[in-house]
Amino acid sequence: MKHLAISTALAASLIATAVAAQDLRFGYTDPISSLDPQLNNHAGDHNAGQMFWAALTPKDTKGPVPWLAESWTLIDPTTWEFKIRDNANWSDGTPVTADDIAFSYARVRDVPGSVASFRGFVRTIASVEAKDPKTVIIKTNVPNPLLPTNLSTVYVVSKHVGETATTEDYNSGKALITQGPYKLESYVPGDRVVMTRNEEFWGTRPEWKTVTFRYIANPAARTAALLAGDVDVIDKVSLSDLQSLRENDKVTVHDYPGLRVLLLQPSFNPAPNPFITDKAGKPLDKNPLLDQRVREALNIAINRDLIADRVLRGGATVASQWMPEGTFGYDPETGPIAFDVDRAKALLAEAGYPDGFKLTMHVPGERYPMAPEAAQAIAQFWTRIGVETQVEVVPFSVYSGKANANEYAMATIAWGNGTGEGTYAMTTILGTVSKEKGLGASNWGRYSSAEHDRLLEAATSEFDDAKREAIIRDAVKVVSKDVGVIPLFHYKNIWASRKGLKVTPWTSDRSVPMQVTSE
Amino acid sequence: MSVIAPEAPPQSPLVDKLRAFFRSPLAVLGLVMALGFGLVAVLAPWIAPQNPYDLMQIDVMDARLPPGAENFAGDMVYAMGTDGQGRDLLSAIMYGLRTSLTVGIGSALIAGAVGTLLGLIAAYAGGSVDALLMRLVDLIMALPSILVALLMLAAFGRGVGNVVLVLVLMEWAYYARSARGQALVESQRDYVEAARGLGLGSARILIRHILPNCLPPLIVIGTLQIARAITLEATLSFLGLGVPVTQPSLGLLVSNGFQYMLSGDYWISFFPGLTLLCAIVSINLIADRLREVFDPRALT
Repeated sequence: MKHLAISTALAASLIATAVAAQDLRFGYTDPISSLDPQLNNHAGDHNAGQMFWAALTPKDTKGPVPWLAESWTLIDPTTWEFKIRDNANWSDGTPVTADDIAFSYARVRDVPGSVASFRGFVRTIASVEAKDPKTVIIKTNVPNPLLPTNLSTVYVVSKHVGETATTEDYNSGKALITQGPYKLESYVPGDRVVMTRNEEFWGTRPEWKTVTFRYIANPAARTAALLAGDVDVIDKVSLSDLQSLRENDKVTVHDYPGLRVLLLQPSFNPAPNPFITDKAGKPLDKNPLLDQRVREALNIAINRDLIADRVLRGGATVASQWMPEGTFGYDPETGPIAFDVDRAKALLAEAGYPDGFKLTMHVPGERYPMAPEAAQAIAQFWTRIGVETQVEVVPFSVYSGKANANEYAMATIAWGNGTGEGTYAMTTILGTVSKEKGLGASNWGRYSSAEHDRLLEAATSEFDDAKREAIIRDAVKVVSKDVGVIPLFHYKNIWASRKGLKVTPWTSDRSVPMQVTSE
Repeated sequence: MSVIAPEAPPQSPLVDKLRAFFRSPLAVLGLVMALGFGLVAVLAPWIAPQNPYDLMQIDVMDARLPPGAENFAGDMVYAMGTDGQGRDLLSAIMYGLRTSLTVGIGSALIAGAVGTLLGLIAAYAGGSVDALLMRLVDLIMALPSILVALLMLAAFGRGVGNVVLVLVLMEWAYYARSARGQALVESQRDYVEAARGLGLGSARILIRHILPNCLPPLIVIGTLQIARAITLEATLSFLGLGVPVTQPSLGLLVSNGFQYMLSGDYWISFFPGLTLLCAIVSINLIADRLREVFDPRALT
């Protein structure tokens, strides 16, 4: 199969470039919530997850990401057959079997304590059966051409250990019987994960023998750690340090256009919201954000170019929709959002708020680069059209719970678009929230559009790529007209390393040590 | 200061203490600085070039300008530069002082009143009331204040009122312990015996006779606690849990500038940090001298 050919070619090229084993210390922004790879779909959890676990299908055909399926075929529109690699083994020596796959996809649907569930990726799966130990038959309840893409985000855990394991067992290392390129050495929550190379690994062995993940949420501290030589590589370089790092000859900056979008999610909850009041501070009897004109006014009152230049210092590009230009699902007809203060004021007046209102927006601190700063600049622009805005920066641990419960009037989310195409965001942040269907897991504003949901369904059952892209583009138009979310920026991916290292991006925006090679 | 200098004729103890206080040039410097900061804080809305909390008046176009730069419109000069949002730092510092001093003095006064009262009650009532109150004091003093403050602010939400509340809850114990100790000593004195002999009520003896004699050490603690409260508020804001980001206090200003430190925009952290330092030093100088003045053994 095509994928096999690619992976073989890739393996060969990697063996050729492998050099002497070394240690790598990686300074990360995104914290890890757990070593349980099925608990939370958080960037920080994925960074560590990809070191220990493989998914059934490839996340990224460019990078050396291991995946378990040797090949797959579509038997009929709702039946897929996956062949598992013969040599894929768990770190305790037992082979990876079809039962592990079935167990993983059942467990991921409901992991207790999850705040960002993976269940959206398996929502179309009706049944998983083992034809033989190395062959899995997956039946979907609807035709789903994106099944292999969906499954590339869900890590496979072992049935023989996982069956009796809780999230705590993964965190303690007890259940970390893995099948990825690394093994756990130690885990200090909030501080570091130390891992050593899995020498029994069935795939391509990475260059680094020992890898230490250090969690340094503060951007300045991360830069300082790199300059002091405490870490070799840092990700998400602080945009305010970019200039001085570029000028430093001991450091190399690696920056590439990225998929990650920064969005605002206005609340569609009809009940009065404590974070929206009239100018005197009295609660409004209905949520003004329910009115499309109000959302549009807020949308066009933001001078994105200015914020990208002045606040984000060129570390991001202006967004008009959730996918960046040039990707699958980007709609060229949905143009840049024009900055128009007069029209914004007129729209507010038309909606019955000529004097505006008071709004508190929420943004997590230190998780999305410069998001608190961008939010404050947005607050300036909104205040100028009469919507007096206050910004509250909340620690992410508190923020995610409250945002998930739709408590905020205006939530901020940075969405990774990890699959590189448009339906991922549609499924998780734009789809009408439904636990059963696995939709809207991070739809914190509770946006709900029947038209969008219909297009999502159509896109996810369309096997023809061109037709599927046209459907996604229609959905972009629908959401953009509704102002279901307020798109702001696409972050660039910026790493900095000590001289002599090279960081190569993957199409999936991940930040993992396998991307780092010595020059 | 000469030992053989003839003593001034006896005067009221208060005047005596005041004289002693002003004999230290450092304490006078502290007092002048503290009064200056207080004045700036009170007058900030009238003397600040800009209202830094009014988003209409700040402009992201002017972000991170160095000290002495003109604004985009060309009608004002940012004497201390601007922060990442285009906020005039001088104005922000003036307003930040308001928050810091309000929190510091407010929490010290409330905690002082509550703590002193509870301490006196403990000393006077004795027995199980005393035991209960003092174990509570032990408990509170055993907890690391910054950790408890973080937890409580995460639970209650942020805001100046909540920060004051948290500080009061953490600090009353210091006053209570000191007030109790002092009151226990005082209640053994003859003048209290005399007052009892006259048949005065306990409340009257406590408030009119014992309390005034317990005050000196409490005043010293109170002054030190103002400085401590300001530091704690700044720490909480620096950690992102104090005041809202659109209404920065000194700690939050330092925190905002911290991320620009490595890129050379030193002024965003430096000036608020310097102000914070001076404010705390000035209060500590006053407190130090007060302690010396009230403690006969320390005064030479």
